[in-house]
Amino acid sequence: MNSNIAASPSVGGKIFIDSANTSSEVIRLDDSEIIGMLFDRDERVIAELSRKYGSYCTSIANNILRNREDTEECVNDTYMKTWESIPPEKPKLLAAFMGKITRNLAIDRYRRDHSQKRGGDDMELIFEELEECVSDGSSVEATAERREILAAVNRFLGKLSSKNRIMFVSRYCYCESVHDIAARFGIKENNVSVSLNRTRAQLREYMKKEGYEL
Amino acid sequence: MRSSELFDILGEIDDKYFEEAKQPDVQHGELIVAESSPFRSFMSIFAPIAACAAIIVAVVIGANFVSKNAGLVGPNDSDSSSDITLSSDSSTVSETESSVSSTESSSDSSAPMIDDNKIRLEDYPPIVLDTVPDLKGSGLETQMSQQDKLLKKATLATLKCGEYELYMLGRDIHIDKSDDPLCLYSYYMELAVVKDGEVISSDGPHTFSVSMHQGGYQLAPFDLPNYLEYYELNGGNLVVFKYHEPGQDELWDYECTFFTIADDGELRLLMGDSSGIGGDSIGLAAYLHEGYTVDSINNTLTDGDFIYKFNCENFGLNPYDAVHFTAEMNLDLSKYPMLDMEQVPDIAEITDWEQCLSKATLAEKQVGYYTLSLIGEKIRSPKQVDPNIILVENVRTVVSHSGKIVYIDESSSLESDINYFDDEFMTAYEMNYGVVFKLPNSSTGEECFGLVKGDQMIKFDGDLTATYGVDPPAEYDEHAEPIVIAEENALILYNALKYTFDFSTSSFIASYTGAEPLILAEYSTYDKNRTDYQNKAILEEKDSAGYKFYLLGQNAKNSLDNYDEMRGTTFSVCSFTKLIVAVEKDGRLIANTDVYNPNTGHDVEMIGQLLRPFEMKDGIGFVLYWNLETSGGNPYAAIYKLENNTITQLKYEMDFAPAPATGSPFIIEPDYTVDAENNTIVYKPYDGEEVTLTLDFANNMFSMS
Repeated sequence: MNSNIAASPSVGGKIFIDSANTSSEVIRLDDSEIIGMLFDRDERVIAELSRKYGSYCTSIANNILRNREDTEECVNDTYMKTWESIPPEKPKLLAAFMGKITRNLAIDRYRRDHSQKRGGDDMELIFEELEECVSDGSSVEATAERREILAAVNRFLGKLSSKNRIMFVSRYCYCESVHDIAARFGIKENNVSVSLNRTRAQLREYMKKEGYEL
Repeated sequence: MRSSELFDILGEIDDKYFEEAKQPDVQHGELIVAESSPFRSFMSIFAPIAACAAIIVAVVIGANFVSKNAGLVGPNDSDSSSDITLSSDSSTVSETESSVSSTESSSDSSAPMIDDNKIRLEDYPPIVLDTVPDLKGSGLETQMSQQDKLLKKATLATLKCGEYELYMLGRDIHIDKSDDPLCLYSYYMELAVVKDGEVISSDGPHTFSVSMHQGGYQLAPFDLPNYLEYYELNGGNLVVFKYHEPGQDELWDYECTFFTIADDGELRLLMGDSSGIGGDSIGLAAYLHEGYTVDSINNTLTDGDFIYKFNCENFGLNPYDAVHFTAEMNLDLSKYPMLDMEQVPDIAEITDWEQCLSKATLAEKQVGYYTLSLIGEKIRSPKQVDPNIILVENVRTVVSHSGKIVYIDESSSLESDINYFDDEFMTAYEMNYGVVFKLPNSSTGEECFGLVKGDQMIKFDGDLTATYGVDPPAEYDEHAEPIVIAEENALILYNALKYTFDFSTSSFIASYTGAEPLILAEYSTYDKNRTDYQNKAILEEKDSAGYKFYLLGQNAKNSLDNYDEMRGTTFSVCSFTKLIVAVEKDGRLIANTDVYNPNTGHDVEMIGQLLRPFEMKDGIGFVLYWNLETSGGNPYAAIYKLENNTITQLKYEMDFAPAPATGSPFIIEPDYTVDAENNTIVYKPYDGEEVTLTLDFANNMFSMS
C-alpha cells in the first residue's frame, strides 16, 4: 500500500476519504464495503458513493436533463434514494442499482419540467424513436403484464450481439446521444442510427412473436 | 403501449445489461469527469447548438494572407514553447518534472485504485513516440479489448502561458501503424494549468467531434505542440485548442475551442454568440483555417471573412448572461466586383497566387426575395486552351436580401465554363410562401432544408415518419430531377419523395409518392375467393359527402383456411404489399395517397370495414383501420382529412410530455359514432370510460378526452 496515503478512519481495513482532508489519496471501496456502510447507516458513505459513482450518475442525469443545476440535484437525490433504499435492498450490482435510480429521478424531473413545453432536444428524439416500437397510445396498467413485457425485453436483449446491445442500452437506457455512441465505438453516427433502427424493428418484431403488442 | 412506458420498462432491464453498457471510464475504474468544473456540462447542453453552428460556420475560406501589422500577432508569438521532443532520443519535459518519479501506480490494474480527481504530472511523462504501443484498431473496441497494452498516461504537449504552463495530457494512448503511422490515438485528453509543477486546474478540450472526453482523440504525432496556442489580449488572455485529425479532409483546418486562464490559474472555457454569422446565440466550437490572425489590441481573431471578438470583461461571467465572444461576418460583397474576363490572368503567365484575380462575383441570380451571389477568389484561366474556362478557389454562394447577408455556404474550388455558373449556386427552390434552401447534409446524412427567418438561415424541422420503415417505391430514382410544386409549397425529390413545407412553423412533412398517376381503371374488385395474386384490387369502395373513397391493395393474395388453435376454427387472410386510398369526385380522381400499414395480412372477413369516410362540420376525412379481427384484438386506426384535394394524416398530441405529436395508430373501437357538429368521434373501450376524439382540421391534429 502506498505509504503516502494519509491515515484516516478505516472501514473494513480500507482507508477512505476524510472530508476534512480532501487532498488525501483514497482507495476506492468495493461495492460490498459500501453496502456494508449503508447497512451500518454510516453517513460517510455518501462521500464514497459520490466518489465512486458520482461521474457515472452525473453522466446519466446529464444525458437526460442537459442542465447542470438539475443534474447536480438529481445526483444528490440519487445518493439520498440509495441511502433510503439500502437497506432493505441489497443490490448485487450497485452501479446498475444507482444508475437506474438516477435515470428514474432524471426522467421524472424531465417530465415535470417539460410538461408545458416542447423543444427539439435529444430526449424527444429518443421518445420519437421508441414510438416505432409501440403501436398505440394505450396504457399498460397491469403490473403483471408489465413484468412479462420486461422479461421479454430482457430475453430480446440477450439475443442481441454485445455491440448492438450496448448501443441500444446506451441510447434508450442511458439516453446517450447518437454522437456520443458513435464516438465510443469509433464509427459514424449514421452507422449507429442504422443499427438502432434495426434493433428497434427487431424488438417490435420479437415482442409481436412473443405475443405482446407494444 | 406508450413510448414513455416502453422507455420506463427499458429503465428496469436486467442489471447485467445496464452494467455492460456503462461508459468505459467507469468500467475501468477511473473517474474522468471532474464534477467541480462548472463549464463541463455546458458542453453537453450546447452540443446540438454547436453542431448547428458547425454547419453554418464551416464556410470560411482557406488560406488567408493577413499581414502581421503592428498589433497583430501570429500563433504562439508570445513566449511559448514545447518542452517535449517527439523523438526517441528525447524524453525531458522540464527540470521540475524530470526530477519526479514516473511511477504509474494508478495505472496498474492490479493495484488499488487511487482516485481523488487530482492530476499528478509525475504520472504523465513526456511522450516518446517510439515507445507508444502499436496496437491494431481504434475507438472503444481497442480501448476495451487491449486496455492493458495501452500507454496509460503521457504529456503530449506543453505551452508557456504567462506565469503558468498549459499541459496537454493524454491517457490510454496507442498508435496503429498498420492503418496510419501518422495518427496517434489518445482515448482521453485533459488540459491542465500548471504552476511550479503543480496542477492548478484542468478541463477537457471540449471538442465537439470528440465530446465529453469519450471516443478517442486522433492526433498528428509530429504536430502535437501546435495543438495549443496562447495569446495575451487587451484585458485578458486567450488559449486556443486547435483540434484536427490527421488525414481528415475537412472544410476547415481546425476545430477550435477557446479558453482563458484566470489570474488564479483557473482554466475557463469560453462560449460565444455566433448569431452574427447565421449560427446560434451560444456555442463552443469555432472552425478555423490556417492563417487566421489574432489582434491582441482589439481582442479579435480574424479568419477570412469571419471575425471573433473576445469580451475579456465577460470571461469570468456566466455566458448565458454575458457571452465571452461574438462571431461576426466580415464579408463585404462590394469587394467582389462582377467577373471581368479581361482581368483574369492566363494560367500560363502567372507564377503565384498573388497574380490571380483576387476576388470577383462570378454570377448573381434572384430567387424570391433573395439574391444569390456566387463569389470566388484567386481566379485564373487556361486561356490558351479555352478562354471560357476559369479556375477559382473559395467559391461560395452568398444569400442576401436588402443588402444584408444571411448565409454563406461552404467553400469549394471550381473549374468551370463561365457560361455554366448556374450549376454552381447553392440549391434553392422558390415556393409560393418562400424559398427553400438546400443546406449541407446534417450529421445524420438526411436531407437538410433551410429557410430565412429574422435574417438568419434556420433549418426546417422535418417529419419523416411517413417514410420510416417503408421501402422506397419502384419509381425512386436518385438521379431524377427535383420537381417543385410551388403552389403546394412542395418538392419531389428522386421522383418519389415528396416534401411539403410549412413556412409558418418552419417544418416539413415527407412521404413517398408515386410519380405515375394512379389509374383507377386498372383496379378490379377484390375477390376474396381467389388464391392467386390480384395485382391491383379495389378492397373497399365507400361514398361520403359527395366523394367516392377507395381502398386499393396491390398484389393482394388470399390464404384460405388458416387454423385458429385458440378457437378451433378456420379463417382466411388477405395479404398485400401496398395500400392506397384514392378519392374520386364526379368521376374524376382528385386525390390519392399511399397509406403505411405494417399489418400486411388481414382477416378477409373484415375487409369492407377498414376504410370509413366521415363528414364533420369543419371538414371531411376518413378513419382507416390498420387491423380489425373477428377474434377481437386491438383495433388500431389512423385518421385522415381530405382538404383541397390533398389527403393528410391527422396527428395525435400525446397528453404527456415530451413525446411529440404522432401519427401512430390509435385504438378506435369499430362501433364508434361520429358527432359531426362537434367534430368528434366517440367510442367506449371494452374496459374503460367513453373516449372522445376531437378533430382539429385546421391544425391537422386530434386530441383525446
